Amino acid sequence: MNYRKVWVVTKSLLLSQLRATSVGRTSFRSLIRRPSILAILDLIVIVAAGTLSYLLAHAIAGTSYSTTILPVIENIVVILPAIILGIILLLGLVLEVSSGAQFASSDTVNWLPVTASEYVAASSLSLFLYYSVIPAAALSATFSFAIVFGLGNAWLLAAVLSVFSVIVATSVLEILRAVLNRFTSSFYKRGGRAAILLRIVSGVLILVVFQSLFYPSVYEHFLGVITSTFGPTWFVPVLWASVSVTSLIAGNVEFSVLFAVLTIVLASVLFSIAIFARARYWVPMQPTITISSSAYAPRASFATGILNQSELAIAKKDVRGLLRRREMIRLLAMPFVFLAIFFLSPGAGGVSFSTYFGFFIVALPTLFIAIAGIGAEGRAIINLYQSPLRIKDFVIGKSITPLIFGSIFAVMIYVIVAVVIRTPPSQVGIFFLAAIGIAVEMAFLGTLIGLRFPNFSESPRAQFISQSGSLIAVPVAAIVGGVSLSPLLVTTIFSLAASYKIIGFLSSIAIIAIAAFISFKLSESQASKLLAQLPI
Amino acid sequence: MTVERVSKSYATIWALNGVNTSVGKGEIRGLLGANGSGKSTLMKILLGLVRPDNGRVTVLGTDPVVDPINVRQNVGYVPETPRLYDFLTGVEYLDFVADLHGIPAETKKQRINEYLSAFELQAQSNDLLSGYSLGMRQKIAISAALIHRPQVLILDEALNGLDPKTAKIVKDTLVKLASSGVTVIFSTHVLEIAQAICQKITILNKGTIIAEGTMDELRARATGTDTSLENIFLSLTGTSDVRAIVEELTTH
Repeated sequence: MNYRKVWVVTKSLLLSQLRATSVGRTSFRSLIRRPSILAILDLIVIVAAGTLSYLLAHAIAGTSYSTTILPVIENIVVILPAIILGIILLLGLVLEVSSGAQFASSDTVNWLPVTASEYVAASSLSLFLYYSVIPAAALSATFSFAIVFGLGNAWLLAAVLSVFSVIVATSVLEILRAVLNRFTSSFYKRGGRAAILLRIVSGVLILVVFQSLFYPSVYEHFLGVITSTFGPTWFVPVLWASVSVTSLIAGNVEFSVLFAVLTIVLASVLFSIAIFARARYWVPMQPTITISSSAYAPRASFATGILNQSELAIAKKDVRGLLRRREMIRLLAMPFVFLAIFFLSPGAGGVSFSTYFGFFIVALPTLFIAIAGIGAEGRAIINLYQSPLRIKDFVIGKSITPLIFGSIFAVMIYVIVAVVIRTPPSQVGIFFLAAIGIAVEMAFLGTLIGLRFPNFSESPRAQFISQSGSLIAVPVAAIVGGVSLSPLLVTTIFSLAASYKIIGFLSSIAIIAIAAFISFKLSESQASKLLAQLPI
Repeated sequence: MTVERVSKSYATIWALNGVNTSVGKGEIRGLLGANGSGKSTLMKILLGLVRPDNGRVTVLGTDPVVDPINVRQNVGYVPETPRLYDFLTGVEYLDFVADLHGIPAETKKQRINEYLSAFELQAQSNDLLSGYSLGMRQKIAISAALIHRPQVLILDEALNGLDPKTAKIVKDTLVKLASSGVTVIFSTHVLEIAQAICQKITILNKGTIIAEGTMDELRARATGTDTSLENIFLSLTGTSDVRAIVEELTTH
C-alpha cells in the first residue's frame, strides 16, 4: 500500500465531502471547507470539552454525588467505543443513501491508478476525519472524569478500542457501498419494478432499523444489558470493545484482553473484506436497468379529468423519481422512522399519537418531499425551461407528488390509529380529514419553500434545498401547521362538546385552505421568477 | 428569426456584444465559433432561456422574453449537453416531453415509436436513461426536440457522440425538414458538416459576429489559396497559426 497515495485520495474525498455539505457563502458550514479548519475545530472541541469535564469532575469529586455518579461514568466509558461506532455508522449510512447513484460510476478515482486497499483505507480515513469531532468530543469529555474517578486504565482501553471501532464502522460502510452497488445492478437486470420495490423496502428498513437502534431508549436498554450482565452481548461483535472495557473495570483482565484482541481481529477482518468487496464487487459502470418489457402504449390516467396533461406529466415524472432515485429513499423512510421511534418511546400510543404525532408524521415527510421536488430537478430542470409550460401547471404539477404521498401516509397513520390504538371512529375520521388537509397545506408550502430556496447541485451529493432554506423550512411549517390545527387541537385537548369539536374542525380546515391558497399564489410568483431565466 | 443589437454579459465578460442577424424560413444556419464565443448564449436567448441585457429577438414573430411559452411551443431545442431525467426510461422521457407539449395520446404513441425505430432505440426503450451511452442520450434528446413537429429547430452541437449512421440520418432529416419550411439553427465544431448542410454560416468570436454569409461569400473573404471552411474559420478567428501550439505540446 502506497501511504502517500492513500493520503492524497483521503484529502480529495474529504474535500469532496466538505464542499458537498457547504452551500452558501455566509453559512457556518462554508467556513469549514478546508480540512485544516476541521482539525482546528477538533482541537477547540477537545480543549473545550476537556476543560469543562476537568472543572466538573473536580467539582463533583469529594462531594456526596461522587458515589452516585461513579456508575454513570463507568457506563459511559464502557459504551464509548459502541457509541462512536454507532454514530459513525449511522451518519455514514445517511451520507451513502443521499449520494446520487449516477455519479458513483464516473468517480475519478475509478480510473486512476489506485488499488482497492488504498481506496478503502483512504475512504475509511476520510470518513473518520469528517466525523472526527464526535470521537474527539466524546473522549475528551470523559477523560477528566475517568482520571478523577480512578478509571484511567479503562478510559485508555476504551480510547484505543474506539479507534478499532471506527475501523469497524468505516469498513462496514465500505462493504455496504460495494455490495449495494453490485446488488442493485444485478437485481435491476432481473426485474425492473420488482427490483425498485425491493430497493425501496430494503432502503426504508435499513434506515428504520439504524435510526431506531441509535434512539436513546434503545441505547438505554443496551447499556443496562452490557453493564449488568453482559451475558447476552458477547456474541454481538460491535459490542466486544465495550465488553472488554467492562471486564477490565470488573478486574477480569483475561476476559478484557480476549475481547480487546477479538475487537482488533474483527476490525482487521472487516477491513480485509472491505478491500475484497471493493475489488470484487465495485462496478465502475452504470448497469442497464430495464423497467418493463411491454411495448409502449400511452394509458389514460384516472386523474386525466382532474389534472391537465402537463400537470399530470410532471406528477408522473416526480413519482417515478421519488420511487427510483436512491437519494430519495430517506424521504420515504421518514414516516416509518417516526413511527418506529414513537412506538419505542415509553408510554407510546393513546391520545397523544392521534392528536399530535399523527399530524407530525403526515406533515413533515410531505413538506420535505415537496421541498425536494424542486431541487431534485437538478440540471435536468432545463427540460421544464425549454418546454411550453404554464406557471400554474408547473406549481400544481410539482405539488401533486407530495400530496399523493402525504395522503398515503395519512391513510397509513390513521389505519394504525383506528386498529392499533383503538381510537373512536368519529375522532379518527375527523383527524384523518384534517391530516389530508395538512398534506395539501404542506405540499403547497413545501413547493413554495423549494422554489424560493432551490439547490440544483447534484454531485457529489444531491442537496435539494439551500442552507438558509433548510434552516427556515421546519420552523415556518411548524408555525403554519400549528396555527391551522389549533382550533381542532384545542377543542380535542379540552374535550369540548361535539358541536365545538365540529366548529374547531371546520375552522382548521378553513385556515388550511387559506394557507394552502396563499402558498399556491406565492409559489406561482416565485416560479415565474425562477423560470424567467435559466439559473444554471 | 431576427436578432437586433443583442448583448449579454456574465459578470465582466461579454458573451454577446451587439449581435445582429436574421434567419429566414426554411433556412439551415450554421453557427460557428470557438468555445466561449457566444453560440450557446445566442441559442438560449432565442428560446427565451436567457434574457438579453440589451437588444431584441423575435422567433416566428414573437419575442421570447414577452411570450416564451408560444415560442417554446413551436421550437425544438437540443442543448449542448442533454440533461435528461436518469430515473426515467427512454420511452417515459419522450412521453413526458410529448405531454408537456400537449400531444394527444395516439399521435404521441405513433411519433415515439417512429423516433425509437428511426434511431434504433427500440431494444433499449424500457431501460433507464442512466444506462444510456452518450450517443443514445443524444438520440433521445433529438427525438424530444422533434416530437412536437416544431417550426424552428435549435441544435447546439447536436451531432456530438452520434455514430456515423445516426449522424447521417440527422443531417438528412434536417435538410428534409428545412425543405418543408422548418428553420434550423445549428452549431457545430465539425466544419465539414456545416459546410455540407448549412445554406448560410455565421462565425462568432468573443461575442461578436465576425463573418456571415453563404460559403461562396465567405470564400471571397478568405486569404490565400486554401478556401476550405476550416481555413476561413481559423484565419477569421485568429487561430490560424496552430503549428507553434502543436510543436509546444509535442515537445518532451
